[in-house]
Amino acid sequence: MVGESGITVIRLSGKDTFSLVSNCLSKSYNEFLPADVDHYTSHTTHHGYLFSGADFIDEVVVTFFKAPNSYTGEDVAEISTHGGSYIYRKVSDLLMKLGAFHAEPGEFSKRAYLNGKMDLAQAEAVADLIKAKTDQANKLALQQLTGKFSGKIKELREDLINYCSLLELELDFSEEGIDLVEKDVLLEKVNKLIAKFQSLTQSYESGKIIKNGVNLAIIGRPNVGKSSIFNYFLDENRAIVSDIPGTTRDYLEEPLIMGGIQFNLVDTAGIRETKDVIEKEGVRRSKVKIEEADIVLEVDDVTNSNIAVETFSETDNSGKTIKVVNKIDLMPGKSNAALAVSAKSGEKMDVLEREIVTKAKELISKNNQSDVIITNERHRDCLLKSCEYLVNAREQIERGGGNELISFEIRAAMDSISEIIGKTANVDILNNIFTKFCIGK
Amino acid sequence: MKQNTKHFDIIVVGAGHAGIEAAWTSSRMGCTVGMVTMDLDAIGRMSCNPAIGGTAKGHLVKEIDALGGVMGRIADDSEIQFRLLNKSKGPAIWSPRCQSDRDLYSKVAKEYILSCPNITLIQDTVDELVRDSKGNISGIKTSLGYKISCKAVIITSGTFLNAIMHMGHQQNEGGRFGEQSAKGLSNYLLNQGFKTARLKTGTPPRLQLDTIDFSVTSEQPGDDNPTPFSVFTNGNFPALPQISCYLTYTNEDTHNILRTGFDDSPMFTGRITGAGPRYCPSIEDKIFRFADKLRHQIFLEPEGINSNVVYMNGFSSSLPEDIQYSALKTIPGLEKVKMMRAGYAVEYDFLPTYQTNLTLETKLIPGLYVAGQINGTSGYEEAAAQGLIAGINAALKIKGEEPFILKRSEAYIGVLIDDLINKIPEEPYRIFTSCAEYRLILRQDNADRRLMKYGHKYGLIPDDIYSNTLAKEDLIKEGINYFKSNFAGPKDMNEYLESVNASPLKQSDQLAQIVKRNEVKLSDFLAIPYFDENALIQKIRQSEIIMDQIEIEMRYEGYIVRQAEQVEAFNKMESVEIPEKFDFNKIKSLSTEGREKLNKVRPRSIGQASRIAGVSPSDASILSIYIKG
Repeated sequence: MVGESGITVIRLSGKDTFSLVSNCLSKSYNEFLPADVDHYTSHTTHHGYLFSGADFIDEVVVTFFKAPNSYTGEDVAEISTHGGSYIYRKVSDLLMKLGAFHAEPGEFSKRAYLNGKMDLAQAEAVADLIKAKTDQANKLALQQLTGKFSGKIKELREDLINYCSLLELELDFSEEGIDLVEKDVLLEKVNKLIAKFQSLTQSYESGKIIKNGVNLAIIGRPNVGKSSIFNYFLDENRAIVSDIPGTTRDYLEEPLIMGGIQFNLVDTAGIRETKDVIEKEGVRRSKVKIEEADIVLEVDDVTNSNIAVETFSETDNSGKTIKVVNKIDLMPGKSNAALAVSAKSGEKMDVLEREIVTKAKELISKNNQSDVIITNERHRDCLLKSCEYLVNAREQIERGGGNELISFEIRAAMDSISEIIGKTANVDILNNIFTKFCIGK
Repeated sequence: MKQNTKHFDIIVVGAGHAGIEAAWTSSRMGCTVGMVTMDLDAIGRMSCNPAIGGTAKGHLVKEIDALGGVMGRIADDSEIQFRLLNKSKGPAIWSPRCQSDRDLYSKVAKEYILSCPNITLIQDTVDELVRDSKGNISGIKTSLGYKISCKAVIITSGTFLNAIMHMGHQQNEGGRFGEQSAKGLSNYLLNQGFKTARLKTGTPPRLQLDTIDFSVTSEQPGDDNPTPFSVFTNGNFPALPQISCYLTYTNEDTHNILRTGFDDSPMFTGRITGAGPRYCPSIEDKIFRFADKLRHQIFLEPEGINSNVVYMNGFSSSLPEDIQYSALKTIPGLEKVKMMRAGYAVEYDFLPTYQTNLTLETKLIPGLYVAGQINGTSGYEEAAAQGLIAGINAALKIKGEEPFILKRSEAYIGVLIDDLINKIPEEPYRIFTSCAEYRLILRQDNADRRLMKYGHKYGLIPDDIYSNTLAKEDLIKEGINYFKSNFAGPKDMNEYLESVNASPLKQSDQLAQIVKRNEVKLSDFLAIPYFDENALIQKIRQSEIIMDQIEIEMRYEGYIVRQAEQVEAFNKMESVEIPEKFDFNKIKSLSTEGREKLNKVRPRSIGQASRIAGVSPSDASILSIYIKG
């Protein structure tokens, strides 16, 4: 895991961090003269020498963070050693000998969550931030990490609490002479809520693409040069190409960044009727990939004379297809298709790339009516569930159902989104009522 | 006094609504009870409004009744007006409420107490508790100098601990008009290490009935068919003639006069430090906080059949007497009214409930139970519910049996006590239906079906009444089962369906589907000739109550199923136990506030821990990770 680099940073977290460091950090490289770690203030960086017993290991810089003002909320030390796997192993062995142990994947963030440094959604964002490969993905993870996403969820929860208060007002305070809310108003408000929830839920379509990449599938009949296009974009001979139709038996998938957007480029097996059992399975798998694709690149061969009439994606009206004609190097000037390229010579491939990027950008902005974008499937599921309950609530209102039933649905919606950041108590609803309405005989 | 036994199993301190239930239940469970009150004539006194029940409170009364308590019976015997509130809404929130004859209520309450051979009434004031070498309760000392030994004490002292009454600049010691405060016990508890805090409550003026011009107010009659709270009440109900209440409103003149008193208000000037109930604010508070509201409703509630006193519901105040009087005379109907007593506020000590277990036994002194306003609640019904739970648990402890704790998913009483212990009230606590997350199944109409098994188990419900409930339960189940498993066609059904403007059947349909329709009223439906030969339906048809239950269960069915799933999830969390001696300090990652609250309340399950105010969701998840390992 550790390659060669200028430096390596090793992070220690936990209550014994400082005493552990003081057992190996020395002020001198000649002999072990323990550094005065106990007197270091938080958020300061110190130069020193690591010793294993009497052996000098490396010259290091250590940054100290005192609980609770650290990433994990515990005492933290970050040791910058020289790079390279040998030094890393030496230092890591030393720290283990002194009582440290390896962090589980995500353990620092888990501790930060458990110590109340961040909520669940923020902790989830850390993983996304680390994995982000493009500028957009990075921005989305940051949006979630800084609490903008949690803020949005809290806002929705407030909306639900307010709504619930209107319902409870009529249930618990019907004798108070307060003007109760008309059915029309309830209906209008619930519709607004549903719209809000839906637009946030839909933003997942964008969020998913930004975070996980656009699924771009190259499809077409055998031997039209799909794999050549695939290799061209990857800038390597990843897929085997030959003149023999059916060379690609199984699909291939590789990540790729174009125009600042992450793609998952999929090369599929050419689709045709075949008796070959292996190729048959390949065709089936290709079809699944086409289903899953956000953008389909449908390739044909310039040597095929009836391009205009024949098409593979028979019933595609989702607008996710880009049609391209390949191999113009074989018959220069022959094609009058809108997009004709040669993967072999590279001619017009830049045009194709621009076309793909434009389409991807359209996709991302299409489902993005919301100021906050969700990227996490768990969040999407919670919101979807909430939405379902809100729709139930609307049905209840329409059929003249009692407030106690409408409230049941709203509370269920509240519980669902609360799973994203934390829970709501009955007290919140009552407090809201007392602040807003004149209650009491 | 000398002739009194010097030993009782249980001493109940106070004879209000909590004390009555505590003494009643524990004595019925075989304990000898000494009931100590400062005033033998104040047993079951209604210190505030002359009414029992209301939203969610009516549920409590029904539950108390199902468990064998007496509040419902006393209310039925003294009832002078009945209303089922929220009747236009869903059955889960129908709430029975009655006006009571104040004097009769108190008289009947005393009769119930005197009818228990195990209860001895003692007029005195408890100053101190006596504890044995292990710290357990062993007796009490009174103001008159008596020592009485006992195994448990239940304090139901209401607002009498360190009570101060406020009216304008006037301050008097005392928990109720014309009655003293109990200082000794308050000081004793403080010395034992209990923490106390202040709360405030208020009461409105009382008016002279024959000086009110009711012709300019609007009459609020009761329901045509009053129904009793209690399963014990039958035959002669209602026993008394029924009265009306009257509705009138304040106006700008009223508000302007009240405003002139703001400078003298003990609330606004800070002389009252205790927090008052937000759901029952004083009239001055309403005007101050909701300045744009031009009028507030006032209910004029006669205090009895032969009483000349009217309770002025909605006009609670602690402003100076003269200002109250001039202000209320601007209200239509009250122009020439005589005010018999001004409104006032009471400030009193309560024991913040982190010091108490779900059984209502204090953590500090084993054998000491607390119930009612001393726990920070308001309301007769809330007090009675706690009295009942404290009484049952004190008796169970003396008998060496398992404690009795109702879950939030079982009863409003469970919600009430769970909220008290975990939320730690900062204002007097009142129950609402919105406090009950499982309210679709915790209905007032099925309190007996939910809870009578416990009342029977503890000997508080006689066999005959319990077997009636069991038979009823069977019939309800049989009925529902019948409607679900039988079908009927257009020929038999359409005449009826058309008569109620419901769309006719095109083909045969499940009877349950017909019963669930909004237009269908079960009692009418079951009267059609189609059912004439059906023995089961004949049986069901005889009972309005059973038809109601079937109708409610079937209409709510989908929701009842979903609610039951929620209850299951809830019970799962409740069943993850936290060991009794668990050391919360050893979990370093808990938030400071979370750890402090966990140490204070010492929850017994993860579910309970997650409901404690101040314990954040992340604290709860840390705890759960820690406990589950």
